[in-house]
Amino acid sequence: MSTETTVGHPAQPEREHVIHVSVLIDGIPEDRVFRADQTVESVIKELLGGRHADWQQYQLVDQRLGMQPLADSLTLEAAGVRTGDILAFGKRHGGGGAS
Amino acid sequence: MTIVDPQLAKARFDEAIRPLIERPDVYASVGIAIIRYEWPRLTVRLTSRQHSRDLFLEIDATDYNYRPLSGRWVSEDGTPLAQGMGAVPAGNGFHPVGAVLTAPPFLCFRGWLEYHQHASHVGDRWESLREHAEYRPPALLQHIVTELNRPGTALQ
Repeated sequence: MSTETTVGHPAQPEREHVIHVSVLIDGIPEDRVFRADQTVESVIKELLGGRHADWQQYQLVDQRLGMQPLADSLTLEAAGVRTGDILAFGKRHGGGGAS
Repeated sequence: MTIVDPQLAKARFDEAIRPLIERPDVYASVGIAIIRYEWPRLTVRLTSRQHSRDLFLEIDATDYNYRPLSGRWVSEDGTPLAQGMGAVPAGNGFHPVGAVLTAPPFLCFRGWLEYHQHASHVGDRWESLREHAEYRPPALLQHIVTELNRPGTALQ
């Protein structure tokens, strides 16, 4: 019977992958850092702070990727967001109703 | 006739648009650029990627922020535009004609003068919004660009 031993370095904790972006919040740019595996939904909730009960009324748009809002269920990494991107944060529907 | 001392209104407006002047690179990346500023009028270029073209919005900041900003669509040289010229947004809150057919196009969004003066919205008081960050010029312009690029916004 043979035994194999693996000699190597002790397991290193994987370095957390983060993304540095600017987010336009109320039209003002703020530098923010998010985990790459964070979902768009959780980012929206984080940006809303304590008023995240109505998070579904908000959206994030990365204009480098197009004008469509990022899908809420995707992680930032899966959505294609990269360090250096500028994200526009705002309400999904803001039009008036006058006719 | 103005209501607010023009120097005071200009000082307030200058402070409100300072981010647009100090971080032009950031705003350009989302399709917003200042073209001209001669108090009380500020002209901005707004990029509609879905229409592959730039639009120009002239903002009148008279009496800011006692009254909200007024906006009208113009050509690059400042000539007012009307429906039928292919450069006036319509839909999603953009009205290509006013309350009467001879009235100019207007922005039917909270925070803009024409919205708050419209009979349907006179109960939505500007006085209760004007100190909120989401109704200052950078936020209003970010909102307009978002709506310009939303499916359903056409150019007429």
